[in-house]
Amino acid sequence: MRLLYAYRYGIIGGVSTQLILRRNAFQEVGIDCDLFFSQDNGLSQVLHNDDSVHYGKNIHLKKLIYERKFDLAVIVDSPELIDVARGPAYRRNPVLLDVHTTTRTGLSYLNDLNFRKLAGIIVPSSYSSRFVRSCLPDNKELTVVPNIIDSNVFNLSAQQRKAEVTNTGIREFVWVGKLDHHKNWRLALVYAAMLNEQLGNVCLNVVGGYTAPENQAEAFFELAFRLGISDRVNWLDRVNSTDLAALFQRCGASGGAMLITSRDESFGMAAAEALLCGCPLIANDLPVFHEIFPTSPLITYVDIWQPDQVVTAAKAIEEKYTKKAASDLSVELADRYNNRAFLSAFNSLIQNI
Amino acid sequence: MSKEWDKYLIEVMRENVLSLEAELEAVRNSVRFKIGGWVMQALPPGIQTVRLVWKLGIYYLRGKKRASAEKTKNEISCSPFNGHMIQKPIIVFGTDLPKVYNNYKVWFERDANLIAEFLDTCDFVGVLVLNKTDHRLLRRIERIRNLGWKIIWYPTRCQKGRGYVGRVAYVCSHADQVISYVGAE
Repeated sequence: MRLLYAYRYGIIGGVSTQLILRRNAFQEVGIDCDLFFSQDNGLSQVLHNDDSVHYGKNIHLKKLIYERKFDLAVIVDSPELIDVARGPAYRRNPVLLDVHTTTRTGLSYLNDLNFRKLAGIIVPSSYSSRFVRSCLPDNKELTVVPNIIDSNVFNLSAQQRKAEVTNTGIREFVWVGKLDHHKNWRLALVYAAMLNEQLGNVCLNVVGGYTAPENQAEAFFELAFRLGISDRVNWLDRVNSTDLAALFQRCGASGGAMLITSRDESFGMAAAEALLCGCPLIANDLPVFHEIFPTSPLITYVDIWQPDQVVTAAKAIEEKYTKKAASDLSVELADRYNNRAFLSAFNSLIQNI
Repeated sequence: MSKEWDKYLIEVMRENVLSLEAELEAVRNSVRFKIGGWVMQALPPGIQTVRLVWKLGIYYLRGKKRASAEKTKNEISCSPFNGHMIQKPIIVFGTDLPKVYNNYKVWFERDANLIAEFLDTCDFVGVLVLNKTDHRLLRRIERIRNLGWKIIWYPTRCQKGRGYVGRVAYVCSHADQVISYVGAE
């Protein structure tokens, strides 16, 4: 079988990471899978000389479809690629739409979509299916195919090597996302300042924002300065998986946590990866997290607009954290969202096409 | 919790609203939206139809010009060391090198974009000397420091403008060395 996943943005982020994991999962069981991105926003620098990853305009996709003769194409939130992915009239490919966005703006393209061109629609969680369902005709089926979390990279193993953990006395927190209003990065900086005042000796690692526009970057440095935390914030515009896992492990070991200030999420990949590494979460109380994560002392849900709740949660981290809780959670998440679970859900889906 | 934090939270909420409005404005200014508006104006056919065709022509030509400029930019080589493995290359964002450093194999560059692209793809570590700040480099300094790069803040030009203070505060906190320039304005 030959599959194609296509997405507009070749950016180092949640969706592209997920597509690479899915491709690897397919290849492990002998299914050819290619990835296509309409734009290269830095991804090619990470995926050197990868023959199954392609970049280009619609005409390049058209050529790829013609040459490779895929059995199925999956388009991720990029409606402009659907017609091309269907292929020529004499050899139509079934096309699935994979919806990963939950923002109103991001979902607006569904209002103009001709669903008859699609063999099916998939989403990563039951929570995000509610958003998408409201935009679909009644007779259109929706299938939940959960994301894969890479437990080969994100795990507790480094935590067990105590000698490697340098105790600097600084409690490290981490925030992962794009510098946009949806992820609410400004709130993360405000809380970093607040926690530094309340707990003392705190630093925040901000991961993401590789393609943040100039005005957002300037706003970042300006706000950090006004909050008095220019020396307490580390901006890491992009990080590879191995280094990110090490960062999560370090934050967990230092008594810190991952802050999630997002207004919404379709799955919460970065949060899941942090938990696999034993890094606790202080998360905005989003419904999707209750679906994706089991109950655990490592996860504290707060109203992200209530500073008292955030500070209380940060103070309680060290009391609630135990190695057993971290290990149990890591094992459960790795089991729930591994390659096998994804392939099983995907296999059930394509049986009906 | 003190009122000061409430002030910041209100500011964050306000910025979020402004971002949403900016998104909406971007949609209104998008070509697709505009073309929809023009089509409404162009029917029934008349002088307004001629104006529509003229506007579409201008957009097409601007798009071609932009694509051509991007292609030229992508073709610019950013390999100042010509692929040689240099033991400790020094990149200066600006024109001034601290006297303590050897002049051998120094790349002086005023284009932050070129330096940024180079830092993203090079496979060795070196020294980055900043004579002034730029958001494209500042967002990268912690990443390259983790790889072993050394960052030197050596301000030789008095920068003004929006955001300058914030950028300087950040680079001062994150540079491995801050060197004062004797003779700075």
